[in-house]
Amino acid sequence: MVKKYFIYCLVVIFLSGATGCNVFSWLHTPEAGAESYIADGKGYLDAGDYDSAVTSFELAKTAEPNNSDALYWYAVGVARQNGISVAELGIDLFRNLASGSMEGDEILTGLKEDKLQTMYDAANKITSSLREIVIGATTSGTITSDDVALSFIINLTLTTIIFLAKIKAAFEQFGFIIDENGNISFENINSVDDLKSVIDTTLGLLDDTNDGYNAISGNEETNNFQDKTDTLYDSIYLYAVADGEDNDGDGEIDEEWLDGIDNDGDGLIDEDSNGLSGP
Amino acid sequence: MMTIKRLLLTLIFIVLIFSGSASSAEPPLSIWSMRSLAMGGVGVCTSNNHDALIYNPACLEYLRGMDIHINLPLGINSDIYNEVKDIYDGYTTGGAAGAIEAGVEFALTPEKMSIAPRFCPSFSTVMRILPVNFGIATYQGIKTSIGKDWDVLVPKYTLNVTADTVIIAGVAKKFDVGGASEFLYEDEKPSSLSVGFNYKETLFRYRINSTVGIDSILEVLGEDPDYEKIFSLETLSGSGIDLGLLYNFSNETMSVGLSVTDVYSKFIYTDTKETAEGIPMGVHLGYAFHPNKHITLAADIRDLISGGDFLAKTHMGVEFNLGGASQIPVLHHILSAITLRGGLNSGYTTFGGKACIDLLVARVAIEFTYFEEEVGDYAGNIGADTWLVCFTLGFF
Repeated sequence: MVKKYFIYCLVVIFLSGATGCNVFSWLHTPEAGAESYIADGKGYLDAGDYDSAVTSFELAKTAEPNNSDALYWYAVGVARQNGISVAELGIDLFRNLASGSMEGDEILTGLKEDKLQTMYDAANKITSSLREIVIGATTSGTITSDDVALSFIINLTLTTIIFLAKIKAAFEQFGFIIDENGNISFENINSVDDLKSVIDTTLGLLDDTNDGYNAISGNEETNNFQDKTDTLYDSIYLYAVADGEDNDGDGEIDEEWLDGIDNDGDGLIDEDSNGLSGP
Repeated sequence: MMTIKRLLLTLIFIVLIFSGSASSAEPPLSIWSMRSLAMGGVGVCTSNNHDALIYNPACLEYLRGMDIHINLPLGINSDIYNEVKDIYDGYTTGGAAGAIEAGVEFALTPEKMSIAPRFCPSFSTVMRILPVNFGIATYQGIKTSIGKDWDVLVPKYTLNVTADTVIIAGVAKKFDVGGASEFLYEDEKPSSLSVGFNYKETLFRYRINSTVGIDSILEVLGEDPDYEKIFSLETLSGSGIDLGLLYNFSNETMSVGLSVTDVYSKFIYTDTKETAEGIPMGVHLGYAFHPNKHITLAADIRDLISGGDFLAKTHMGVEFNLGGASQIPVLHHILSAITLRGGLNSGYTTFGGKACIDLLVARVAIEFTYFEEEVGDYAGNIGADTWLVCFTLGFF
């Protein structure tokens, strides 16, 4: 009799230990409300299942689009899903500084190029979500503008860093090299068409659908952003390309090199360039 | 029988009167029992020592003779182990730089992480004073949590400290109510109903809750920091009353119990002397089955009248004294010193064990417990585990 109960006890202990999780988990059916989906999402976060967490937070957002908790936790989920954190940058920076491979302003080299697009997309999603809370567009939930203001600003900074890293990566793709000393050189750009191709492709990589900039500034400013990129295009064209024209109207054609030196001795630097490197 | 009916009716009446005040969000006192936690959180019918003062005062009737205990339980959670291991692994693979890197990752990653030591020393004595069993204990419950909480990009550090110093005095009286049948065997015990009462005097009750992010660090570094914005400190004192019932079926193989904790409680802020919110009343039901003296099977439903997920309130446990595994006298005597426990706490696994040795008038015991509890919204949502070890010195 005693042996029988002893075996029962051991079976109970063994089964409960062997499950390794909560035996009631399968009985939980989420209710179709933001609060319930958020609770589910937090559970997935805790278990390290970030994809399921984001799915739950998306459902919470769908259930209550103006709930600040749903928007906040969605941002948290996306950040964890894509490994976006100050720690990512901090640890890479630490590693590079410790190994002596990084100096000064080379923080961008700490970002892994193969992850840039993913990180950039995720950072934009986070910005879009937090922005609603920051500007006070939410009507329910416990998270306030003050709670997320700092995260919002840091995320914008992080987005900018990723943005710059993407530019660097895109230029390098076309042989536009920035070495460890900050010197710039071309390898594969031999004509105006090559440069146009680089610029067009780079702008495309920066913001395919303008969604990132829309999220930051609002739709109405997208055109301004486009104007700015056009000006950038003109500037690069004027200063970096030997176009066979007298761009500065001094009677000389492409008389400068884009090297920070007054090559023609007229008191102006790099004002009508023949390219990025001199003879 | 009339007396028992009157007692039952009185208890139900009191529960109904005070159930309206059970909506407070204030957490209960931070005192707990190694045995109960190892058995999945049960205690309403199974508290066979000073734990009765925590879970059900009617269980004081289980006690025989005088019993003095000094408990020193200490607990840590697995996050501590994991982080120490990460830093050690970083050191073995990358030297000091590797250890620092692991430390930096721990400090900066906005993951949920908690270093949560617990300490619940107690001193208790239980004795029979005619015609009731009487128990008195003092508990120091300290539960801390220093960790990080989920945040978007930058970790948010949290500090939570809950500390209580409580003196509990309880009495219990047993009433025989006859056998399950009219034909009791000679050695059969009749059914009985025990009624218990606790008075709790909370001498100190500290609550420190703080969330520190970069904004609060900047605040501290500023010229005129507002610490109240960062640290929330509450110091209270007060008192409370628990009531309990325990019905033992004939031969004590089965029992059902009802415990109503904090049926009345009153607290004041120590500094301002203003009245604070009391601890919400808890209504707990329990069932226990003792097929023999070596085995206990039990189930509780705790906080019956509060809101929340029902499954998170369920607790099931089993205790087996190894003495029952052998009939050989010497072996039986040795094995009787070892007890194994297991259970399900809101669906999470718990287990533990106890080994004790008798030294003249004293009993020295070492206990360990692993338990996981629900800290989310429903059973299976977010579990938090703790390892506990306890040294007990008992006199009898």
